[in-house]
Amino acid sequence: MRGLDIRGVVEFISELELRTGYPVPAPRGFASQWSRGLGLERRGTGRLLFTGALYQLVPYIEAFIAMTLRLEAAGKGWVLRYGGLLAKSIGPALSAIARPDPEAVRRYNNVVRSAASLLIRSGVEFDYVPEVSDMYSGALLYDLGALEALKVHGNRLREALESMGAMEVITIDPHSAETLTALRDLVGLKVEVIPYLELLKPSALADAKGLEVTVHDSCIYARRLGLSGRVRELLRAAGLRIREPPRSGASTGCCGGPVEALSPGMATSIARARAEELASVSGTAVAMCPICLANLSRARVKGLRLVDISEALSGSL
Amino acid sequence: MSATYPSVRMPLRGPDPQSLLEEAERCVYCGFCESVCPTIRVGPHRGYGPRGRVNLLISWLESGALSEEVIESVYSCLLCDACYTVCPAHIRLSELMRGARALLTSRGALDKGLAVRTR
Repeated sequence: MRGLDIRGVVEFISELELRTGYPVPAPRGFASQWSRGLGLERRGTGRLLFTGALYQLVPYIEAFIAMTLRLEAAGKGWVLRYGGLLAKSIGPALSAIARPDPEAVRRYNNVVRSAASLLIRSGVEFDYVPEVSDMYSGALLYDLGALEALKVHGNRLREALESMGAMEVITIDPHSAETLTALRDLVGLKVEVIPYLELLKPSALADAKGLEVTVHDSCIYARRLGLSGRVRELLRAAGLRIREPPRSGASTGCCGGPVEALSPGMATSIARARAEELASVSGTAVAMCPICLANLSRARVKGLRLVDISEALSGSL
Repeated sequence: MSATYPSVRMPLRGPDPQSLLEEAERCVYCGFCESVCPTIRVGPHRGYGPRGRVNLLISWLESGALSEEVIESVYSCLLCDACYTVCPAHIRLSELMRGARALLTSRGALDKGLAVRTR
C-alpha cells in the first residue's frame, strides 16, 4: 500500500501553515474555543500557558486525513502531488469540506480545559492570551524537516512570545514542548519550557477510587524528558491502579502517529499492534499526547478505552 | 524543581551533510535496533529499520546518488527513538532523520510521486 505523495504533503502543510498559522484546514478561532467561560486572562506573571493547539487540531487532522483517503479511493490522489499549489489556491477554504466530528471537537477541547483546570487547582499562576497561547508550535514542520517554513513560523512565534514578556511557557503536550525547545536553537527563542505535568499538585487531583488502567507512555516524555516516573506518581496520587504493558517507560512502543501525515495506513497498522498490546493488560489506557490518543483510537481495538491523562487526573473518566 | 525541559541536540540550524555522515558512520551494524523498531515489520525493505536507514543515508551522502529507497527510508521513520534505547553507539537516529529531511527539502530534492509504502 502506497502512502501519500511526500513532496505534496510537505508543500501543502508548509504553505498552509504559513498562510493560516496551522498545518491543516481549520476555521478561524477554533484553537481557543476551549477557553470560553473559564475567565482566563493576562495577569503579568511572565509565565504563559501555551497549548500549541495540537489537541484542538486533532479533529481537523482526522477530517483532513479522511478527505485525503477519499481522494485516494476515488483515484484522485494525484491532486495531492500539487499540495503547495492546492494550499495556495484553496487551502483555507478546505475547512468547509474537511469538517470534523463535532463530538471529537468537544472531547479534545475538554482535554485542554481539564489541563488548564488542573493547573488552576494546583495554584499555578499563568497568563492566557488566546492569540498567542493557542498558536501552533510548528511540530509537524519540525518533524517533516520543512526547515524554511519552520524558521518563518518560529520567528513569528518568538516575536509573539517576546511581545508578551513571557519568560516561561507551560506546555500541555510533548510535541509542542519538543518543538519549542528546538526553536530555542533555531530562531533564538528565549523561554523556559515546562510540561504542565511537572507543576500539578497531588491535592489538585480527583480520586479515581482504585480504577485500574494501563499507561501508554509518550516517546518524547519517556525517552527525551524522563517523565515516566512523574506520570505514574500523578496517576497513583489520583487513586488509579497501574498495570504496566509489556513495553512501558523508556521502552514504550510508538503509536505510529508521527507517520500519519504521509501514510495513514502505516500509522494505523502500527497503532493497532500497540493498542492490542495495551488492551491485553487493561480495558482503559491512559495516553498523554494528542497524536497518540488520536492514532490509537483510530485503530478501534475492541475492549480498549483510551483516555488522556488530563481526563484521568481530573476525574473525567 | 526538575520542571525545565532539558536541552535537546538540534541538527536543524542548517542541514550539514558532513556532520550527518560522521554521526551515521558511528553505526556498528549490530542490528539491536531492528528488534525494537516499529516500522521495520510493516515496511517493504530493510530501509524501514534503523540499521537500513543509516546504511542508505551513508550511501546517499557518500555517493550523492539519491534513490527512491533513501527517501522512503528517511520519511518512514517515526522519530520515536526506540532504537536509541538499545544502540551501543548511542546514535540518535531521530536527529539524523530530521537532518536528512531538512537536507532533502532545502535542496529541493524531493521529486513528485514518492511515497512511504506499507507491506
